[in-house]
Amino acid sequence: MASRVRELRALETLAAGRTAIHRLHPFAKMLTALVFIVLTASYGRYDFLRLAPYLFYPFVMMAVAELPYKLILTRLAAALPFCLFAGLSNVIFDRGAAFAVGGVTVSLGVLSLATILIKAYLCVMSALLLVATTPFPELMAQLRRLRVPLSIVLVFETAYRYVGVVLEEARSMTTAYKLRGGGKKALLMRHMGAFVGQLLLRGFDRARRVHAAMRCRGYSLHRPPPARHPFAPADALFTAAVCIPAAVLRFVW
Amino acid sequence: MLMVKDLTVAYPDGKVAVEGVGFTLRPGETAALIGANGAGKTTLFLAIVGVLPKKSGSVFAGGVLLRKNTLRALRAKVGLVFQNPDDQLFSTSVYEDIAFGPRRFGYSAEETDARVEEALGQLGIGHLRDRSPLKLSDGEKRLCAIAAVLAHKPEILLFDEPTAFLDPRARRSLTGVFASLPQIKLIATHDLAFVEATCSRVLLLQEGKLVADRGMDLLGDTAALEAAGL
Repeated sequence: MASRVRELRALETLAAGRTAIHRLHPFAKMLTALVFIVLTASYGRYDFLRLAPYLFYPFVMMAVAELPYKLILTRLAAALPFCLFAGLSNVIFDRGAAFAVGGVTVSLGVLSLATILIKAYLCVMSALLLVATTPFPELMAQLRRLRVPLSIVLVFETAYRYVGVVLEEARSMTTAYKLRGGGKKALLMRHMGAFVGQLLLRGFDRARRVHAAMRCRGYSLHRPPPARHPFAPADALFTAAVCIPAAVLRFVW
Repeated sequence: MLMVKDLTVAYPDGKVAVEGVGFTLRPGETAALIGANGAGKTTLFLAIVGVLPKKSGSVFAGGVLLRKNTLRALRAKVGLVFQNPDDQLFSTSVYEDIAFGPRRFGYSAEETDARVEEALGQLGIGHLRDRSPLKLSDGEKRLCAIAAVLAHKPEILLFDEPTAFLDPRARRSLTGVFASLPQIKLIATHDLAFVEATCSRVLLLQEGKLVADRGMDLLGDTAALEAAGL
């Protein structure tokens, strides 16, 4: 549980960086991520070789934004198993021969699995890079400036803040429980109901106080703060530098 | 000026938490709001900034009358420093947290930056600028919470238990900080020594009612304090 809190905080801390990528307008990064995801996801099911040039993009971005490879790749690893299981069914059902290497036949299902994994890697990395280089409040403010329905933005904002609040409360309650738990390391099932109930009540109470503090300092769902700076030529250049080559690779190469 | 007149606040279940409270604080004045736990100090503060709705009465702060459509203007004039800094600090860095208010109140990037730097300098915490608020000591968190409120330059400051969680050194440092702040200050606290060091007037709250509004001599009136549960 403590590690989950640390992971959340770690991404927040990364987003507060001050590199050239961090300083870009949130719209530029959001648009780039969206275009990149749409383009890579639109490749055919056996096109894994054509996706290869895209593999470098996340690493270039991580280097320029000074993001730690280990943390980002760890977060990526959490998402890949789901795609692996989804792709395994293709290996079982799509048995047509694609090609043979040294007498070993590679099936279309294996190609399909490789393509799914590469697509998942590229899409998840693109989203992670966006989150790790743009503070969450700026992302939400940008969504509101783009006229995304307020109810959707509110769900994102509340969930984001509330997850942290609940995890922190859970951590302190778990510590208190263990200290008086007579050496028991885990929460006993008979205490689970009261524990979870208390956790919800305390989390709700804390979230309400945080929300009050935000309102006192001018927070209003209906009034997004202006962007830190207007969309500048550098933002347009970045967007073009990523989107145009990606589109050329997709439609021309 | 902060003018509170016949203010009554009730919870949704009908229980009255603050009843008929009235007082006026003039520019430069620093007053203490004392009272036992549950006397209504925090509720009064939340009602002054419009977070809790009032049942009746009025609040006039920095030239703005508290109404539904003046909340934003009023909150720009009145800064509330919460009892627990963890409730107030929620950003990734001290800079981002202090910048939250000015950005929300619509200041430009340059103005926001200037205000953050000024608030950091005013409290002598420039070295904490890029630190995570979560990793600060309680004293540092308290100073950051005050800087976060100072950044949008309110005319009136409300402090809810500012010395809670602080060691004697941090408390002494906070006394110096308070002396340097020119705004109208209303401080809710149980710390009578801190009141003596920082205030010139004392408001005593008992079960939601203002039972005394006097000079510092109130602190020596043991009977009045004991009657109010202190």
